[in-house]
Amino acid sequence: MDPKESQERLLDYLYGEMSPLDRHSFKKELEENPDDKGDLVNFLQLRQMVTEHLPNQKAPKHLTKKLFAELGIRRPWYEFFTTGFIRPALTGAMVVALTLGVAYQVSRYQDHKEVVVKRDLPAPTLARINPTLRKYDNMFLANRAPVQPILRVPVRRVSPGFQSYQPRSLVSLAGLGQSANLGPQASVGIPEPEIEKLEIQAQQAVGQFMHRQAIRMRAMGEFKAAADHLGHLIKTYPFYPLKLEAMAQRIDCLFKAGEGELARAEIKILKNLSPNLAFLMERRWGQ
Amino acid sequence: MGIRRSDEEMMVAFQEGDVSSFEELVKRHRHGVYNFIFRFLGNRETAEEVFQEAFIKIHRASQSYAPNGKFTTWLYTIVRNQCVDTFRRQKIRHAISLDGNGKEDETKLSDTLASEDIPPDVLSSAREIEQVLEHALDKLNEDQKEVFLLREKQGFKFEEIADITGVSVNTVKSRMRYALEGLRRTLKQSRYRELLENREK
Repeated sequence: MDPKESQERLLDYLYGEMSPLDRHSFKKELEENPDDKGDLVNFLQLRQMVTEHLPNQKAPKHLTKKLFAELGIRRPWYEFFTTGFIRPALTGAMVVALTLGVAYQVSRYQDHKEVVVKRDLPAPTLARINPTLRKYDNMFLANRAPVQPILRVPVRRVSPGFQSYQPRSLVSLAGLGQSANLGPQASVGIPEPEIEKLEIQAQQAVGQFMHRQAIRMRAMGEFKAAADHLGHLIKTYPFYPLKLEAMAQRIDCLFKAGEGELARAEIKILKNLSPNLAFLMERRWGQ
Repeated sequence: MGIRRSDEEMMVAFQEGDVSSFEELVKRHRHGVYNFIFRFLGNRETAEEVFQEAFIKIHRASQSYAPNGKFTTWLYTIVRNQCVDTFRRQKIRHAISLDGNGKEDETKLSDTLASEDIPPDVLSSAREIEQVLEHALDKLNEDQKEVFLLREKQGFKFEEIADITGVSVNTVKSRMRYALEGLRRTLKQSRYRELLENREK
């Protein structure tokens, strides 16, 4: 082999620029060529010396700053806080002061924070409403701004699969007092609109209570009892906001209880009130 | 933070006006570039000047960078050209002069190296061994030195070195071979091995 070519191959081998196949064959050639082998060993030792005793020099820090200044490149804002000795100390002191200040404010806030306790007010029964309204018999209280009793009526989906709908607006408030069975004494000293409002709220609350009971029964497989309960709800509280949903659930329970004929009849009633809901029920029960 | 962009992507971003990309490129390559310049020229002050000039040139010539090429090849082409120009212009000597710095009682390092009777304690420190190597490197001509430094210190392949220096791969390998042989010869004359053994003892 040409000595020059041999040396070039030696360099390729030395610096790992040879394919694995070539490396393998070259190793065999080295065994037969002691001069090249000697050169390889020497070069390897030389490389090791250079690596160990000729370390890489790092660029001084000021070089970069000087370069950026020369090029008109602004240094990063945080560099102001990281250079020198005093600046980092000042920065550290500022951070500590800020942290203490925030911690102090947070602790003050937590001491004086009003804890809001959410109470789920029990659904007011008729017996409960009467004592509430009785205080309005007091003429003194009647002259003051009326107190709005807060009855929490959480809105939730009581029946999966049914699309939520907006409760129909109440078009007639006639006979509400009688239907709610609040008694004659309840209206003494209270403005009429206020009574109506209270009755609506009472209906909502009681209706919801009954609705929840029916759902529980249905979940436990007591379809007949749930259907009866829902029927009672619909009949007693015609202005219950989720009345249509309750009707649909009653239909569902009737089918499951084996009273298909009654259920189909009620679908027809539901069609007059909510065609879409009736359609859903028909589709669900294969009508 | 986030995914590290390649040098080529950052250079393209700089070409489009993102100065922070240039800053990042400087930070990534400053040590490698400085090391090459310093080892090539052998003088710290001159290396700092050439470092500045090289990066200023890179900053101004950014539009000449072709995105399909490797950034480091383009970078070191400019740096190498700057080093060669400076070397030829000023004919730099080693900061630690081999001819002494004027003190009469100081033994000249070159005399020490040439002598057969080298006191073992003269070259016992790592810094002194480094000086021997620097001297050996300094004895190479600029073509051999640049090839040696680009391969040994910067890790470029022979093909890349050929692109940087503008010669063929065979010429690069030939220069490398001469560089290795030259270093070996110089170190052998300085009885480097014996001194290294003494130090280790």
